[in-house]
Amino acid sequence: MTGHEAKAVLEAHRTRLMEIPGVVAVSFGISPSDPHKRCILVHATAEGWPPDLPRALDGFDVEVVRVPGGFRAR
Amino acid sequence: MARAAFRDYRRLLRGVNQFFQMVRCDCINGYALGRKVTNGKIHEQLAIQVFVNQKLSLRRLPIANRIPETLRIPDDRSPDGFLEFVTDVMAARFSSLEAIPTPQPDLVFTSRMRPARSGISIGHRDITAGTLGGLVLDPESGDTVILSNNHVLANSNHGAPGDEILQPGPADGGTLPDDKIARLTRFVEIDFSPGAENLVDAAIATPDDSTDVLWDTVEVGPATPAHTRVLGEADLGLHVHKSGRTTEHTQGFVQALFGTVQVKYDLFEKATFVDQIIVSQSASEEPFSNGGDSGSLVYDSDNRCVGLLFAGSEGSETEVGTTILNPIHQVLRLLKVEMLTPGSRPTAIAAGQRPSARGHGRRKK
Repeated sequence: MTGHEAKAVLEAHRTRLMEIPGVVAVSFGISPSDPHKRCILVHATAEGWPPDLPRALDGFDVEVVRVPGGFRAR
Repeated sequence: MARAAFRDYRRLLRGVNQFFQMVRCDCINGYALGRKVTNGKIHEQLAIQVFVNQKLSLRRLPIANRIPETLRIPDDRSPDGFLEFVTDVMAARFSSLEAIPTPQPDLVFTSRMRPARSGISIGHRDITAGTLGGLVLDPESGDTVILSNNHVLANSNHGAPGDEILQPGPADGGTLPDDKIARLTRFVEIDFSPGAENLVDAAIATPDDSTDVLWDTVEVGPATPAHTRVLGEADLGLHVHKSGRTTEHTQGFVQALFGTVQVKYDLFEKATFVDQIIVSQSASEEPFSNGGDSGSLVYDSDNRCVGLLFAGSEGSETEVGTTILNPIHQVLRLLKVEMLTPGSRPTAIAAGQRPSARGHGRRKK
């Protein structure tokens, strides 16, 4: 699966994903658990798997990265 | 054996080390990070400067008080497990321990500097402080202008063209009228309305005097940013670095692309950005950024500019902090500016043209 495909998947789903409570970012990148694996990365403020977040999206695995305070302008 | 880099010296001197113990037992008067000096000539080589009452030949000193010319310190990141640090013994007395000079390179990032280099403190008169990212060409006016974030130079849409820009920023002691360096030229407005999608947090300011700025990024080097790089899937994991006002020179890697990110600007305002670059770093490295680093330009290992730093998350004991960048090509396109090419501005600091730095005695982290 290519970056183009991942970008298309994000385009299709990002609005819905960003509406899930606690989700503050969605992107395509390196799995935190396996640097050789590419996945849809979801940054979320709460611990655990966000409710309603799918485990896979159009063939891409979804992984969650915790950012307790969310993102702030620096 | 690998020679220690600036960050290795800084880490050593900030931690518990043998010099600290020697100060405590009055064997030396102090120590600091500086350049090696021989016969009054300052060399490029970094050195731990050790201050003593009087320089004596080694044979006149007890073994415990001798300072070797180089130190071998165990370090796991070095190929042979050791880093080499150079020392420089100098005669100097101070009236008290409080008078021990702090490492000067640290102050570079938060001091007043003329000409001002990139990577140091700057800010709109009504903010705290951010980072002077670099210089770009404004084809509209033909001027060389300062590039940073909207929230650094334009106070998050609250500024107006002509507003005063201070170097250093107000949090680092910058005040009007002495520290005014530029006026806000224009910015890309951030749309905070729900559902709105932003691409960049960017602004430019025109220096009052073109000789007050220098195209040279602290700890990155001259002639930056001359070239840019648009990132694609193959660049995931790319090593990047930046110099910024708070965390100074740091390194990280590209963790993710095509990011849609919600960013808080204050208690009430948040904005969504799309097509963003996400940078992280290994747990053993220092955080890639922190508050005050906004506006830093981020480079690959060939010093090609990839993005403009503007946001991030705090790290914790279990989580690594994350940094968000605007892709540089979007910044240039939306601000309608161009990268400078080598030769269009002074690209190196010639002898006798070192920027003057004046500390304000305040440093915020």
